[in-house]
Amino acid sequence: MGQEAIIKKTGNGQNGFWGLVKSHIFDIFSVLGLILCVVIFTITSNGNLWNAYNISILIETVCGYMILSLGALFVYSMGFMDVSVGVQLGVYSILMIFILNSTGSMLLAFVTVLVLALLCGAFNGAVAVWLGLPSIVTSLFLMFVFGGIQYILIERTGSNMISVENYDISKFADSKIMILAMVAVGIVVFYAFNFTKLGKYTKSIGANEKTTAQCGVNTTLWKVIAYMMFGVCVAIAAVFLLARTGSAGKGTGSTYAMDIMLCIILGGMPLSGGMSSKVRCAVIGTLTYVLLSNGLTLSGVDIQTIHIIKAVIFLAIVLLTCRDKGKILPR
Amino acid sequence: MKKTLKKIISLALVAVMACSCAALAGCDGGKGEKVKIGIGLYQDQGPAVTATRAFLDGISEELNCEFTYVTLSQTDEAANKTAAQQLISSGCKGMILTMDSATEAILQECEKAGVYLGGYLSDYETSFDKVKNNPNFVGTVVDGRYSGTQWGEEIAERIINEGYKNIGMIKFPSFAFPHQNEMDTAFRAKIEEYNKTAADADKITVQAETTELMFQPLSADYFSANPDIDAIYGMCAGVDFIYPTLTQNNKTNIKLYTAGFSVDDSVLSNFGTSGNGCFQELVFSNVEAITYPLVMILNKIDGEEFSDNPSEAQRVDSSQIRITNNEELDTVKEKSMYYTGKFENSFLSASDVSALLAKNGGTHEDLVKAVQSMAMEDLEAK
Repeated sequence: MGQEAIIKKTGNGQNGFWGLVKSHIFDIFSVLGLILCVVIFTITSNGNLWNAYNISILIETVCGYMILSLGALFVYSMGFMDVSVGVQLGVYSILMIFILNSTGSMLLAFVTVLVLALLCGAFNGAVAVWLGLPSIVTSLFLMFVFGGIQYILIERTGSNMISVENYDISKFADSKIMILAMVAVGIVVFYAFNFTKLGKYTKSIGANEKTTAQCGVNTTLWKVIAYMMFGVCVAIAAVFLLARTGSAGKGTGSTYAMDIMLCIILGGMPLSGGMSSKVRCAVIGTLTYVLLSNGLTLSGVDIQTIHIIKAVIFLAIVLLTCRDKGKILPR
Repeated sequence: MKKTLKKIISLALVAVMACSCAALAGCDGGKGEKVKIGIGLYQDQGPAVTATRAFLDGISEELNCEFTYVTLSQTDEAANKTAAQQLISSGCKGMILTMDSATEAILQECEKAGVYLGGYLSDYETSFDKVKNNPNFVGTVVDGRYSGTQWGEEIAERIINEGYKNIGMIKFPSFAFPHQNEMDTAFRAKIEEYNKTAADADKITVQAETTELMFQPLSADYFSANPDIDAIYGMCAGVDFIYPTLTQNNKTNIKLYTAGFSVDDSVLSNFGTSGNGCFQELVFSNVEAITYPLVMILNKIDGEEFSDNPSEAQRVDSSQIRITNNEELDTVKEKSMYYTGKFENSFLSASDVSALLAKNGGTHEDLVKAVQSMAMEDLEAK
């Protein structure tokens, strides 16, 4: 590789090995973090990490997070976030149960939540622009609305949870199906993020929205499309989330919004988005996050210690990956 | 500056990982001969957690068990299934969970792995009928009594005797706590019965429609809608959800009869005739009740059965500590493990628990009696 190419690659004029290292410091950190988790937990879990049962539960746990993280890439690469995803998942799960129990049609259930998820995506993307609000405000609005709907839906059942009764949803909890779904979503997202206008423009919006708009890009349109893309992934993830337990309640999905953010950040993606956003951030981050939770529990680490370890790692990664001192949090 | 910051953070990361390694090294995951039991609690701290852990630590040696803990979500089924799966992966032969959440899915995992599941301070209302015949489900010990009728009547009697005239009624939503409806109904029935014969001046007015708290603290608007109340029957956890609002609105002259307990001095110093005297009744379940699912699980693991083993999993009531006056509070402070967090204050010693095992001649009747002999009079007799 010539010097010119290296300069182009590193983007900062530094050449040689250290220049490359410096320009990929976040990627290196995230990969090292994953490797470190694997090595440490393989030793400390007395081999339990790699027993067949644990591998199956790792796949089961990773599936939902992976699909959501891959979808969230489009939103986070713009430097935005969607805090409504958790309650959306909860409501979609409940709706799917209602539809499955009354019609037995998985297709109808999925199409219904897909349409809803697309509408929510469009709302999140468009309303924020039209009203000149930070996107987090519209997603907060959706979070409260969906949170209320979730409570009402469950309260009307007279119980604190409902289950799928007339359909064998557990077939979607099969490891092979889950791997297939993750790979399929991964390929689509990889292609869309790296080889289509959607990926290029979302990263560009994250890097500098004004400049992107001045280049003739309809940023509003691409924001809406990015949120809708995330919506598709939320609908798919809802199927696999429901398949895990066959039931849903008033708090189903509630932790996912923050978990997804953690996954992406652990993968080395800056919260401020931009050109350094990569698909591997979602993949590595999700694997690290799930391994961290699973490995610490398997190793018998105290609950409080687990919280502390997670919190410190999260804080350290946020500080490391923040691109701009003035923009620690997404807009 | 930025470089320095990165270096500091990198060092911090290394330090964190080193700490975690040290923590991991400190855990004794390698003692294969001990029976590993997973405990899933809905909180990761607080007096109940401290006391539960102290009790289990105290009996672990005698029973040759080790306990590993996870925190369950009160609302997220998938998170609870993951927690149960991780316990199974880590080698647990039994699990005791405080949440009836994703129970059927968790039991499917238990069946696959040959692990047993028991409930602790939970009536498993949602799933009990579906899982009571599952061979991997050993039953559950309830947080007090399964039926709320008796406590509702007991509070009504206290209210009548103590002469309060306008009573506020607060509970959690029915869909989550259906037995609070029984408390509510029993309380109203008892008051109605009293009002039939009482003089007009002595009649008691009960809030027409019970306020339901959606797991949020009581709103200050409550006092505008119910301006004349002089006592509240808080069927929900009033220490956390009602008392703070009373304090913030200078309404601590209203007497509070409620479920729950706190070791916090701001609560206990205002109990009975002390402080502002707002708290008139507090109720809590004993952590030693965990003995029921633990013994049932250990019997299964040992391949033993009680001579009077029930044909299906049972939902067993546990006795509660009702604190109704300052003397009783003093007794709790001095003798209850829930307050002291010390195993020496436990109702049951390690050998008591061991003797309840089927292999040591225990019976199901003895076991039930043990978890139902932990009321205030038993505490006073200690």
